[in-house]
Amino acid sequence: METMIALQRDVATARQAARQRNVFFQLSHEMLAIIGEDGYIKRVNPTFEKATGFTEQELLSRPFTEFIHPDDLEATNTEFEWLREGLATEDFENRWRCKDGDYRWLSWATYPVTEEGLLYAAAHDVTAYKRVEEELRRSNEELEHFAYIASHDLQEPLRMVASYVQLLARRYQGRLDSDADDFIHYAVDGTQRMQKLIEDFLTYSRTGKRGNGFAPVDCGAALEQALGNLEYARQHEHASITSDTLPVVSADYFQIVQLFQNILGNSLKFHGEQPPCIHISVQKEPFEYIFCVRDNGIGISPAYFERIFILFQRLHTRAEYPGTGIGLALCKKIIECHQGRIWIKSIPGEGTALYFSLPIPRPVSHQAQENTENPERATHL
Amino acid sequence: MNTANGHPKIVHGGVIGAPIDILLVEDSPGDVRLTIEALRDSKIRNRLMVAQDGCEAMAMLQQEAGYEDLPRPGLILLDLNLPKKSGREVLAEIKTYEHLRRIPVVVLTTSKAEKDIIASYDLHANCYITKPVDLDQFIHIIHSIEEFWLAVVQLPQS
Repeated sequence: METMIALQRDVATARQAARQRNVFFQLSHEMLAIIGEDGYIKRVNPTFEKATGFTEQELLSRPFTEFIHPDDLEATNTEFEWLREGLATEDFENRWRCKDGDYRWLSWATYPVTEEGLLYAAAHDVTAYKRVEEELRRSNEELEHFAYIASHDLQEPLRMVASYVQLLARRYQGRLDSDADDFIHYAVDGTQRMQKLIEDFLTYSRTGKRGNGFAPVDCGAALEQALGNLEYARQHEHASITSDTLPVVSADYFQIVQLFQNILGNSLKFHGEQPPCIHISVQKEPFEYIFCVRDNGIGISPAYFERIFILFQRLHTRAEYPGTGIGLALCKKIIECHQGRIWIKSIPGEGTALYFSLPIPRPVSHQAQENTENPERATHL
Repeated sequence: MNTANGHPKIVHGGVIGAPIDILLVEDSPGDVRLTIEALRDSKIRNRLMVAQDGCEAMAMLQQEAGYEDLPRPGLILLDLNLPKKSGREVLAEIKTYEHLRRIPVVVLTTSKAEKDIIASYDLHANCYITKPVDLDQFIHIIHSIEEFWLAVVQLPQS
């Protein structure tokens, strides 16, 4: 008798749980589907019907692959194979054909239950997001192209001015009065500065997310290369540069070399009475590495901690220290491309500590890995 | 015969040796004058002829109407960005003619784009030089070009 009651109670509990799941399945604003390992959809919720314009019957009547955009078919089939082997996936994106013939971008999270031969899937419509992403990409491309053309076209007439003023200097310096010599000197100096500014501006505008995508980068190796490039300056300043063992991150190798080179270049340049003494350390946090480059140089006043990262902003006259003021702006751009942060701590007269963070590489989904190697495929619309 | 800005078509420079004829194909008058000034100070005697676009360059090389008295140059300095016919087209054309293709062609241009460099060498330019922004370097390069192609290198007698 007791077992009967217990059994009835179990059945009632199970029925209630099933009813709850069913209600949420019907209610959910997410597109939910149950797909068989045979490639046919077994069940969809009303949101799925509404989003695609197809009735459940239409969606169940053919293999789901017939709804997938031809360009996404291969990746979808590969992902399907992973799922059939029992591996859950997240953030898988593909295009689903709707009743009106249009495609919408869907982002899937799928959980396989191999004993049942079923895949439980939830998708949401990311079409709008994809469009914005594409527009942003185009807009950035256009901006970079514009900056390149502007700089390039500016260089031609500038070369004319620079060359002829220098020709004047060669031909007539010493043969006119000393005022003329001064005038020529300032003119030549101006053109040389302008040329350097345009060059640096071009470098800055070209730095950004490049087609190569990210790969594992040994920061120690990148540092070595930067040190090699700075060897002459290091010897000239009798500087000592030391570092902790540096980690491997997901990055663009040449940009990381450039990053180290700019930061160390600054430490070598802005030194005080003593020869520069620089140390690079790193600290591992839950999701990121925090690097610190500490020097014993002239330091920076807190009032300027933000300003120094702005392109072409300088804190000293050219007579005191050379340079156009691009170094830290470039570092900031590189760091932002890598989803990191950069900041400074310093006491004037006592040295500077420059901090930057780089995310710890996370294991990526099969498709996200592909997208890193083929970015055009990832954003095509 | 003068160029559009009044310079004589043939400009003499240098002091040593039998004069070599150089054809400069360049549309920027500022760059033409800079080259003239650089060559004026050169050791090697030279005669500079100037074409201001690709069509004029071919007409001069082929000694067509109006250019019958011009000598065939021993060296061609070729800019890539030219009106009417581009430097690339001129280069390709020169190399199709048996009597012209032996003349060394030095591509001298502002572009440092890889695709321009590759295209020029594919079309058998003898070498590719990017015009430096600094005047001293520009003068040095012009002198180096001359010394190399006219004094160091062997050119066919004809």
